[in-house]
Amino acid sequence: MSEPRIVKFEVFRYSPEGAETGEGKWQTYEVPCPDDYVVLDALNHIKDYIDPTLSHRWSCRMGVCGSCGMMVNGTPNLTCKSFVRDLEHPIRVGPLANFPVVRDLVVELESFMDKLKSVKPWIIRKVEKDVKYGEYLQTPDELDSYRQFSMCINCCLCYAACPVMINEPDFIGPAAIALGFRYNQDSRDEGEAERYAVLAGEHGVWNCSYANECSEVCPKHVDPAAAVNREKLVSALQWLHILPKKGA
Amino acid sequence: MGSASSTPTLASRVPDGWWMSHKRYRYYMLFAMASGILSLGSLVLLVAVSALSKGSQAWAGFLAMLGSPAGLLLSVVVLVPTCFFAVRWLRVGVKIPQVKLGPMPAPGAGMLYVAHFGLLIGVSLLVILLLSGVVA
Amino acid sequence: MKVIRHDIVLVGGGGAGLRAAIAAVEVSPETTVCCVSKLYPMRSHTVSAEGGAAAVAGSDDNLDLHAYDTLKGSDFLADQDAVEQFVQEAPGELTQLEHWGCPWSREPDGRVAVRAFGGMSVKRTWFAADKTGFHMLHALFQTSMKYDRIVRLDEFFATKLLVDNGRVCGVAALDIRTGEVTAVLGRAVILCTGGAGQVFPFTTNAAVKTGDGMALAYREGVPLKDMEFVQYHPTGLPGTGILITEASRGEGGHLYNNEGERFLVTHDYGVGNKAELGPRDMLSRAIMREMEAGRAFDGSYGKYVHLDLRHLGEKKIDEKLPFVRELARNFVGVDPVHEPIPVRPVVHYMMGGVDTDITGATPMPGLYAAGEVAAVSINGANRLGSNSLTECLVFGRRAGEAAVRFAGDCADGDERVLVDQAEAEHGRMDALRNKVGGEQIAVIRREMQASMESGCGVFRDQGSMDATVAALRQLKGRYADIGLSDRSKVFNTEIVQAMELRNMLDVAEAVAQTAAVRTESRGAHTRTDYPTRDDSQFLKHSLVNFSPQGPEIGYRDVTLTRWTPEERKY
Repeated sequence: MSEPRIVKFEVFRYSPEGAETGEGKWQTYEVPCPDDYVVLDALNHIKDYIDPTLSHRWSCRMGVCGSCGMMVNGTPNLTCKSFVRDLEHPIRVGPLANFPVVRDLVVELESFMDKLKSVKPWIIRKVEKDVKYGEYLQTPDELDSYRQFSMCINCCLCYAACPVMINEPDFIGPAAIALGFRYNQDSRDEGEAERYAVLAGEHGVWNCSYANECSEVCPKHVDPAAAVNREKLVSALQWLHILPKKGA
Repeated sequence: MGSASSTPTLASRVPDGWWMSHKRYRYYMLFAMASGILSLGSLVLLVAVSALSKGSQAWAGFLAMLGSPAGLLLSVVVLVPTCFFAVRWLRVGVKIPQVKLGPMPAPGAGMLYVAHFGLLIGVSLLVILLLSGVVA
Repeated sequence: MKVIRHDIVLVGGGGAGLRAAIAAVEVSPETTVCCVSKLYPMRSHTVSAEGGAAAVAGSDDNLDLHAYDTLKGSDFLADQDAVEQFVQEAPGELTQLEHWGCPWSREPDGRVAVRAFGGMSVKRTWFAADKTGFHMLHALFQTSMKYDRIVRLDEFFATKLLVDNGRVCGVAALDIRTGEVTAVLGRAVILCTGGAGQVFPFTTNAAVKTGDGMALAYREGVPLKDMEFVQYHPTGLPGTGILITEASRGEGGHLYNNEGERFLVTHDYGVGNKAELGPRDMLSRAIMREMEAGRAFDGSYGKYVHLDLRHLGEKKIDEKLPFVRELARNFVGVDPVHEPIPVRPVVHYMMGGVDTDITGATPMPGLYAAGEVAAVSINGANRLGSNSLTECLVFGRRAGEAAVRFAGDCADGDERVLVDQAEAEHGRMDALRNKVGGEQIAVIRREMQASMESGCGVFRDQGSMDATVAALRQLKGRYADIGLSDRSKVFNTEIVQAMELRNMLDVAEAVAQTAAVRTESRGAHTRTDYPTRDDSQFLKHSLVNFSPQGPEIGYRDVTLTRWTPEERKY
């Protein structure tokens, strides 16, 4: 392995307590980075050996738990898959945009959790089948009609990228809408009518101006913009009573 | 919606001029602004309709204005963002109809691309042919 | 002191925890469950499971065959009554997940598809491409949102079980956001905190897998069972330890050494015709033997062998193993469609855990455990791949239902006694946050991990294990002198790391000590100085109890029903 090289990081620091209160600040660290370091490795190096007061979230470090989303050089990204060697230096790491900051790189996710719940992301049926009668049949084509939208890891990069979120913080946003749409599209579900009021309501799909930024940054290729804008089409046809709502 | 913060938070701050500050947004903003210029084109259309309603003399005057250097410049100024807008809109817009509507199966992306751009090019050609008098 | 009261307190919000929570509120229309989790539930490590979940599905399969495969995989250390119960309830649980929206991969006719897996004699592993754990966890989490009686305390770290007169009646939990300790009281507590892979340096496990639940129970006098059995997964990426699922071999992938040999076929490693679909312990040993024999590749992170998927073709890889392709491309720059993937054995799973019975009950009244934190035991000395996700569901539900029954039969604990204990925890947290000392958390953690790898790896012997035991004892002494730098209360992750390290040191010691006294080789516990299985002495579970002087170790006979232990050969 080649010698690690020293890379400069500018990391956002904020604490609601003590001397660091206020608007937050950028703090510079010099981190020895082997060639295969990702930004998260560098943050952990800072935490372990340079400055244990740095707070950030992370867990699986394989791009599936969704914890480590941050702004890396101004773009929302999973730090566990942002390679240091691919980035311009100094590397600026900040908390996800469009969320209130709790501390350093940690943002407040409570409103996101409420938005997720608001789309009723569970199978809704008029009559449940008893487990002893086996599974609901679902062909591979029926599975494909929603599978992509079930890939969301709730990392919230799309909220940080969405220009609508800047002015409309109550917009339920790309991930939550994609999840609601995922259940609407599932052949086992009959809850479309129950989700209509939220998805097509005041804070729903019609806030979206189709900047497509959510899909540009999505690390799992969920393409939430497609879900949001398909739901516009579907809900418009439903509003016009051209299309029925499943479960109505 | 949204829970009360249990500790004070730093509001998510948006710097002035955020909408042109990053290349992620610039493209989209150009797209949005293109629609402003597009409205100029609609204005020209309105003037055309108005001239048509006022008789052949007014219509001839309108055509002369379109043919003048200023008129030609205006056409070019409108054409460029119109093409940009159309191409970008069709590129992202093609994702929208890929959904199963009632008994109709979801159309594939390839077919929609061909249909969208085919329609754009076809209609444009038809208009050019009509205006140039090849097709009477 | 903030006091929150619910019927049942759940620690951990992964696959087992969420299943337990849903079971509890479904079986009883009034019960409330409070889920205390140190991370948002959908971040839990269940999310990283890839290959699938086992349950009898096809007409070529039957429950006895699943049970037999599981027992043989366990090297006959699993309790046979527990395994019988497990295989019987498995299909219903996976079907239940299907009803809750899990996007299982399907056959053309719409039925759920199954794939082959290591140590299973027929195809019985249900899968959602190669993101099975991810989809199961999200389906469970999203379904749990349906119930307002499941109340979540997200990003709360449980620091101590609150015990009244020998019965557990809640937990003290640090609100990571505010730095305040809350007393979360209930009439039963379910631990679902998962494993402890982070006690090793090189693991597939997420950073959060620090053995918290094991340590919480252990320190209150609940025994840990079979802790010496640590599973190495044969195929992790060098460096990061990122898991390359066994499904890649289930779908037909092959392992090659640096001489281009399929060494599981050309050399006798006891896996017979199963080759790449042999059980994990045997494959990990085989790869280590190849390394010792100089038939492995050399890389910047040590030796490795090749996992070759190229013959499967791009279409099959994209359909069945898209995540493997994504991981290999992102993290080692290898596209498995065109190149073999470098892999090596990596710590993956703890067969051992909190001692529970078949209902998930531990010896402490009111305390239940399910999932990797628990040892029922259906996994014995070596777990078969794809049994653990199913275990989370079967025993998660059992623990949830048993906890409801227990909570319905007893009165609340003495609040004064419990809140006093939580107050004491609050004081301990304040002291820890302001602690001055010469030792660093990261340094002790690194030394512990290195020591565990050298003493409790794939191959073990008395000398190396004794050295690890001694090193851990010394590290525990040094832990008393750690210093913390972060004095703030809001989202202080340093104090969380300090508590996690304490948990890991306790768990590591339990692993090393139980390993050092089991003088046989069984399943994942392979000793070069005692290379054979010894049923006359060790057809027994180890049970380790905490004492201030160090772990105290005892044994309990394995429960046998219909199967006689036999030589484990494939």
